[in-house]
Amino acid sequence: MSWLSRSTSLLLLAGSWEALARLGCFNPVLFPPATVIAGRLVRLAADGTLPAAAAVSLARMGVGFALALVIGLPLGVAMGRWKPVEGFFGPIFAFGFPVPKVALIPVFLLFFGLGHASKIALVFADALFPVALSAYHGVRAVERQLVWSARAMGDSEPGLLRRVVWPAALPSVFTGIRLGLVVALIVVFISEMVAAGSGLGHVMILSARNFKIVDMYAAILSIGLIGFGLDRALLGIRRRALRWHEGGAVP
Amino acid sequence: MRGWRLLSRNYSLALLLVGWEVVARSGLFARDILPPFTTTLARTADLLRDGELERHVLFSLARQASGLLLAVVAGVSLGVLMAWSRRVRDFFEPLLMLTNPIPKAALIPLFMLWFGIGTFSKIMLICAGTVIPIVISAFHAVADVNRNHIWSARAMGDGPLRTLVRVVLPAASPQILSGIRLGLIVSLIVLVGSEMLAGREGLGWLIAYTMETGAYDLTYAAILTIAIVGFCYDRLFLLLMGRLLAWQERAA
Repeated sequence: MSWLSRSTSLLLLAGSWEALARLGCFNPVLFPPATVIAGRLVRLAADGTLPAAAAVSLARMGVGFALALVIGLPLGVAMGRWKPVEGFFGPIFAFGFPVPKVALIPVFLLFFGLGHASKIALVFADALFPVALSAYHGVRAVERQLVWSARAMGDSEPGLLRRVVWPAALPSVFTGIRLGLVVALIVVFISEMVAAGSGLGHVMILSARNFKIVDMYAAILSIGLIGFGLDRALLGIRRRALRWHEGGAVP
Repeated sequence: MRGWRLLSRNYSLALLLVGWEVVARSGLFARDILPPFTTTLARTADLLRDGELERHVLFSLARQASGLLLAVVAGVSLGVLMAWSRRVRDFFEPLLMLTNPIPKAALIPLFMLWFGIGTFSKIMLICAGTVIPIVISAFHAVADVNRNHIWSARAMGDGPLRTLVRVVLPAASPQILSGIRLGLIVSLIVLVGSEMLAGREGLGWLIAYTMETGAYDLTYAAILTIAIVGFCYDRLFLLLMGRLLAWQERAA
């Protein structure tokens, strides 16, 4: 299917939004025309307001997410390989995974203050669980025969991990990373809306509270673009990393 | 005996709670910043006794359940329609691919504006926040159903609706259910987040309100409640999922 016909529904949606708003079918304050929003987005991007706020949000999310990867992946692999580690961390992860960590925002605020640290802690706390659990499940699902053959051929534990276990677990790991990214993006903006002096979430809630509706739409649109861009980037990395794997091309 | 086994299997959780108690009592942090676990339990019991906690839990759960239920009904229907008709699929697929990665937190101020800060707004928010993964999983699941099974059912005289209910949906249910579990996790986050930001009731509101008024021990009690509610909810769902899919294990 051609690119144009694929985007028919999108064009139709934007077009009818524009038409209905211009014709006055909606409350013009709540639903400004799409072109007005796009114009404001360009202006706020050009004067640096949105890029500065986006940089703050992305930095918070990036640091928290990187921490979750650095700690979560080795922990998940260790849980999958060694019984005592699984016995210790297994129950903690089973209990903590479904708990909405946004509830911890007050605790993080009390301990880390209103600045970056409390947001980074929240992103870390939320992304850690899917990342570690997916590595754990991926490692547990590695075929025993593969491990036995590698051992029989004289692989030591580090070599086994690097050459057999890790590659076999990688598809599952990417599933967890994607879920972690989804959750991390949600909570960084929620934490900025609840308590922050900067970041896109803060800009968005401030514009809503001050009834600067067009600004709010521009902030929402840029959050959507960030989410879309990061998801695409992750899928690209996944495709490269899993080129050898049959499921690698499937998003 | 059973209790002992449960404790020994979950010893790390018990250690964590003991650690919380010890650190809180050691005076390393101010008492109001980190009340001991036992105090938090006592506060939770107080809130339970005067009926306050129950009210907020019910508010939150009712919102979450209605939102998710709406998303399941709408999402599965749309997913089935997309698998059924090329036209529907071509219209919705690009829309879904574009909106799926949008962080659902961006919808909170939007829905506050459109629908207010009450229960309706939160139900809509949870529905919108969870519906897309459900549509996508239902669509893929239904599209993957073995054609031969559908043809056999039709050949044996089942109408389209009967085929859908008796063949297509059962075959697609594992994937649909895992889509719903993902929705469950996201819905709890969005629910608590939106309640913290606006409203007058619900567990998220209780957290934000007690925090603002400086009653930190009650904040901890509310957080403990959310943790327990979230965990039980997920367990119940997994139990239900096991029940619903039990026939597959037997068949295999």
